Amino acid sequence: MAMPHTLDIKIPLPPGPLANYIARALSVDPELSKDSVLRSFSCSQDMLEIHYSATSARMLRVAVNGAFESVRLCVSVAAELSPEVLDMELVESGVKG
Amino acid sequence: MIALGLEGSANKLGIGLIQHPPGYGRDPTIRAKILSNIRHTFVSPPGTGFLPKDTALHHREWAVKLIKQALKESGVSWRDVDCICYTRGPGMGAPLQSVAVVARMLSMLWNKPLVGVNHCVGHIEMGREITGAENPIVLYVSGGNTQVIAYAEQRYRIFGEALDIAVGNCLDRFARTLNISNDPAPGYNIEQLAKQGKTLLDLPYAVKGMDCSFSGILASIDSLAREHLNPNGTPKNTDPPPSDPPITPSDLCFSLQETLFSMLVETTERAMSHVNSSQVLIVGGVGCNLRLQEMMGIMARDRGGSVYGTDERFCIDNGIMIAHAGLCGFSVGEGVVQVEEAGVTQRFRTDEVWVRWRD
Repeated sequence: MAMPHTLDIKIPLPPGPLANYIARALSVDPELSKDSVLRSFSCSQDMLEIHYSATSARMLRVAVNGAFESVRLCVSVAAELSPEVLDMELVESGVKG
Repeated sequence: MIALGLEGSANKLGIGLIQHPPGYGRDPTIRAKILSNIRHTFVSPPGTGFLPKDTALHHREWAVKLIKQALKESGVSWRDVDCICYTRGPGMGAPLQSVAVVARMLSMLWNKPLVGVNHCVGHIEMGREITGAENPIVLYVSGGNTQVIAYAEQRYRIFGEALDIAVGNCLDRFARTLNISNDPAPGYNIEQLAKQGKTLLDLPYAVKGMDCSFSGILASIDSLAREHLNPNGTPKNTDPPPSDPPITPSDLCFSLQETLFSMLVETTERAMSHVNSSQVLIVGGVGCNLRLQEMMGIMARDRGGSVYGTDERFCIDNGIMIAHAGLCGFSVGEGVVQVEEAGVTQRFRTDEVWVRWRD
């Protein structure tokens, strides 16, 4: 089926492996409506690159919304549960205690 | 060995940290140590059920907070964690996915192996660990599953199951009919109402061999509710007044429970006699129901056996069971997946898992 509606999203992330991690974490689950939406996650250096194409603008919007929610989740996991962050909090609470 | 478990196949998000001390599995006196077991439940308004989209949103909002809290209250460092276990299925697609994304990210950030866990096997292994039941017939009853299970040759084999909706779904949906609260759980509120029930109404009894059917019973109790209750749930006043006391919501809940649980006791008993076992282990959210435990206990005692149940911490979906079953699997390499393979699946039968960690 023709997929004339496309969107390329580039999200800059902090230097390091994060963009790669997010691309890998989100590539696993197949898009639910495979017949009407195609999707890919990749990264180049610290840039997360998401490509969407869909049969209709509506399908595109729904799918892209979902992707943003997932990216947001990944970023919050990294922001709050990265080894550096957890170790830092331990040091801080140690100093206080 | 320490495992982090993430569960989110339905409306509960559960995070657990468990430790299998050295010698675990070889020395039966060494038990698993629960380091943290926390849960946050998505409760939908009365009269409604939880939808996949809203439930997934709930899990995304709470996952990070709960994991931080689990690490903090247990004092476990991310370094001490040996593997990250998540629910692969069965369950609702969107909630499962949300939690799996978190598991994949943690696996990469912490550089720890990932273990995909069958939700039903999680319930069974946790029930065995907590109660010490060695080789019981397992009755797994929840909002999404109804199975009578026996272990044989490294598989949990399904002897009987629901043919349509799960027993817990039947209870949950009747709670919606009555418009009662879903907090803490619809089934819990039905159980409380049923305690005041006096009149046992006739409902279809739908045991078919080793299997059960619940959807016809739901249709039947729903129509009794329409017949006997006003839309606001009060008993209907008839003119002239009936000679018997009017039928109340409590009578309906009582009748529903007695009928559903009798069916479960019957099929469980048949499985016990088939494999010559005198122990029953009840797991899953409906397993908290004290009336079900009582009825099962009467049957088991008649057979010279006993029933093993757990309380809400372990019966209701939780992260610790995923951590525990995942760690059992991890010890023999079962369920270990690369990030790229760490998917989820809405359908995942209990007997698909190779239970390599048991003899």
